Amino acid sequence: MGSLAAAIAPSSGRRATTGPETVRDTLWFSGLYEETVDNVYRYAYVLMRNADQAEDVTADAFLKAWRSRHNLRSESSAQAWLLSIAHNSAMSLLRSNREVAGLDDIDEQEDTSADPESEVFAGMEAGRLQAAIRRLTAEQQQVVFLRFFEGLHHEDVARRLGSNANAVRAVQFRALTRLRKLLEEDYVGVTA
Amino acid sequence: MASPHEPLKEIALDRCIDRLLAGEAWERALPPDPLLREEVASLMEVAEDLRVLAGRTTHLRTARKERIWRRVSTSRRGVIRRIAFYRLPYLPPLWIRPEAC
Repeated sequence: MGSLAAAIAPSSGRRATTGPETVRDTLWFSGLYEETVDNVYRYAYVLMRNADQAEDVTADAFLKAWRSRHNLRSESSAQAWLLSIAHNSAMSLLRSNREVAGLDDIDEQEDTSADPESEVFAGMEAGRLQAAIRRLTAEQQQVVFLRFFEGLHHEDVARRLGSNANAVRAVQFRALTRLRKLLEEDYVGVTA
Repeated sequence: MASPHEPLKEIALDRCIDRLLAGEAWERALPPDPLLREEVASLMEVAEDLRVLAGRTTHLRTARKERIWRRVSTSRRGVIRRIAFYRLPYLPPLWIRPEAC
């Protein structure tokens, strides 16, 4: 976790548990937002494939983070905590999209809205890969995101996730194996 | 059931990914064992695709960042009244803004 949020964390090392928010809590939260919002948004974008929906997920994740701030165990795991909340928000939004659309598999949907940010995601390969990433477990998604999107070393990923290096390597291996399988299945499905 | 080769595969894959992230030739880090080599190389194709996707993933633009902050700080569900009042961090409170004195 960066220094800003940690620097203004309450001196007790814990958020206010319940009741009215304190100035320190609000300063801590705004610092946390500054430091992590870009990562949370990018993570949401990879899952949602739509800038507006990624924004919805990001806003929802920070709202939930604020409301459950007393559950954050340590500053060092703040990003993992936020990514987990964002994952749950994204899955919830995907489920409601599926109910609204009445589709069995929302993963097959392509975002065709005139969204300038989605232009960089143009191309079947990127869409297929993103759809496959959605099917990973939350833990696998977070390792893939921190390793490949943030470019972190596996030991840094372990620190961010409150895990250990061997476990991160194992999750990383399983995630890539699963992605390869999903992409192969998808390729067979497309060509069949 | 994990095979006894599993940790070796994981370590070999991790080394290749380190090289990929560093912009170096990851093929040099492939293990000598032909079976391991083939499996890790096939996973590295996925790793390369992930890197390309990461490079294309846009960063959050300032306007959107501010909009999300407004949504969070003014939400009734969030009840972050103090943040809404101070409008942190984009508009500091009056008492620390020299131009307001």
